[in-house]
Amino acid sequence: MNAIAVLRQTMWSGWTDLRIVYTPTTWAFGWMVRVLCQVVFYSTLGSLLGDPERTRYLLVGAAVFIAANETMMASASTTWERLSGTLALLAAAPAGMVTVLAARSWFWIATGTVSSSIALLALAPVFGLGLGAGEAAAAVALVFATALTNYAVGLCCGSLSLRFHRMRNVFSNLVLLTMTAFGGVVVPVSFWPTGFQWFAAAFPAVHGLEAVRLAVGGAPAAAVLAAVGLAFATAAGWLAVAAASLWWFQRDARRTGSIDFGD
Amino acid sequence: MSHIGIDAPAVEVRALVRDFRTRGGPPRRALDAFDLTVAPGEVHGLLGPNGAGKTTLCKILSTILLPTSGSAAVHGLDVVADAKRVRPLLGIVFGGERGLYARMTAAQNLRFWAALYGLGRREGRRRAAELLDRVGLAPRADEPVETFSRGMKQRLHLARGLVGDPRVLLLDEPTVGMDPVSAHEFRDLVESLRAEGRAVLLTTHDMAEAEALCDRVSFIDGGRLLRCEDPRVLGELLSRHERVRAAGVPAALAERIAALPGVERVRETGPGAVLVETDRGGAALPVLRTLVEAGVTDVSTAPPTLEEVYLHLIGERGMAVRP
Repeated sequence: MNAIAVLRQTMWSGWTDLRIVYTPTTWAFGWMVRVLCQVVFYSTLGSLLGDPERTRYLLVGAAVFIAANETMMASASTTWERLSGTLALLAAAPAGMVTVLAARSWFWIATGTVSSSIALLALAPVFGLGLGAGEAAAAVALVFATALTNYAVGLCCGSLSLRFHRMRNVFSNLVLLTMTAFGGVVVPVSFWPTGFQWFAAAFPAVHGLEAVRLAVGGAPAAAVLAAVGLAFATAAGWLAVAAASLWWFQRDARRTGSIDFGD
Repeated sequence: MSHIGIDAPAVEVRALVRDFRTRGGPPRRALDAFDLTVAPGEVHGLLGPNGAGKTTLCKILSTILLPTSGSAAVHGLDVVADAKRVRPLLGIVFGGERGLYARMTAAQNLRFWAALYGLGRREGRRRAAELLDRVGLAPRADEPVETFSRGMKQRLHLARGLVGDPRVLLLDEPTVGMDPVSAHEFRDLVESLRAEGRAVLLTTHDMAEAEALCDRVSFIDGGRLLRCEDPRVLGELLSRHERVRAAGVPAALAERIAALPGVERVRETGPGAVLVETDRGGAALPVLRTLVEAGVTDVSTAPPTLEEVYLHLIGERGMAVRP
């Protein structure tokens, strides 16, 4: 089986899906306005506290978390095959469904990176975070790494959503809630008891966000790379769970009959 | 490992059973000791009411569902043990709007599925263009599927089913909801598949479609095979069930007709309108004579259709869904 051809066609299919979600106009004047307002809201809280450091903390946390937020949409879009009625056909195709389901939602990585980067770079000067060209480029690269690694988490939730279709939005929302609360978005991870900190460390976006904070704060490259390494390491774990879960779903569906023609 | 049998039956099903678990109740048996053989190049109709087990059979053959017991093979390859080798041999087409990527163009849809059936980029493009031409969609190749009519989508479904050059096509109620012109065109396409030597397993409710297309027809109900016949032989088998329709028939005349030999029953279908059902060859003639002699001129006879055969075989429950 030509895996590259399958991936290429799957990614094209995902790109056409994106056009269901956004037109350029709705993306710019709907989604991006909402994103900017959200980041401005959190950053303004910092300003109102009169603490420039806290303002920058909230700005970076809110902006970078947009990338995590968008890639968690992969949980929903992984189940779109059921809506288009192609799931049974994928299951019956020689290439199987795992590659297609794993790759079809890639566009959230792209849109998450773009939305998050625009929010960070556009609002940084407004809230007193001066970024040079090098820092800005590093920040965009790290936002991409955050989106890429968090995609594995979204995919894992998507695989569970396929299996437990009635609870399809529960998994992603629980994970997002957990990451928001304990992942250092508005409250430092160190604020929480040690057990919660370990729990938060299981999420790649937490390390991605930390890498961005370190990079824009002028930390040594080694510290930044260590955080990125942790993001990719945890993502590998999530990806393995997602692949196993998709494989399990296909095997279990064959046994129980949970995939119908027209699904 | 089994080998692909060129001379083996295209589809061979033996004592196939599939049970589904139900909440708090006994398992529901969708297929019950089902046997079926489809030869290469045969168009085989599978007729039955909703819930009869037709789609369950197609799902097992297409490897997305495991049987509870029994065996099913495609060109000698077991659909359970050799699922990976069975899949390239099969094309699946089901009716309705679903199963296509609506935002993608017709050509993109086919290229997507070509990749999943192992075709490279160039081969996929060539195959997509060839199939679009074949199903008459070449002029619309680059338009999004969401702009297509139902008939066009169904033709694209068929093209998608053919993208892997399958030896066996499973057509699960492919013309459901189609307008008559589109359905006719679709049947022409299926005829051409037979000419190419591909086996087709066609599930349908449409008796005319089965009669027009199929070499043999299997009647299925309750997960069991009722009969497997040449559609014409089956029609002949029940030709004794000829029907006579008449209008302007007084009640007393209807009673006289009901008493004639070979008349199974007389049903009132409207004010003064009756449908006379016979159960003996030649019984329609005295019915006609009696009606005409009584001055009834609005009279017609109807040859047995496959639907009548079907209804006769599965009894009074007819097309009702099983509980």
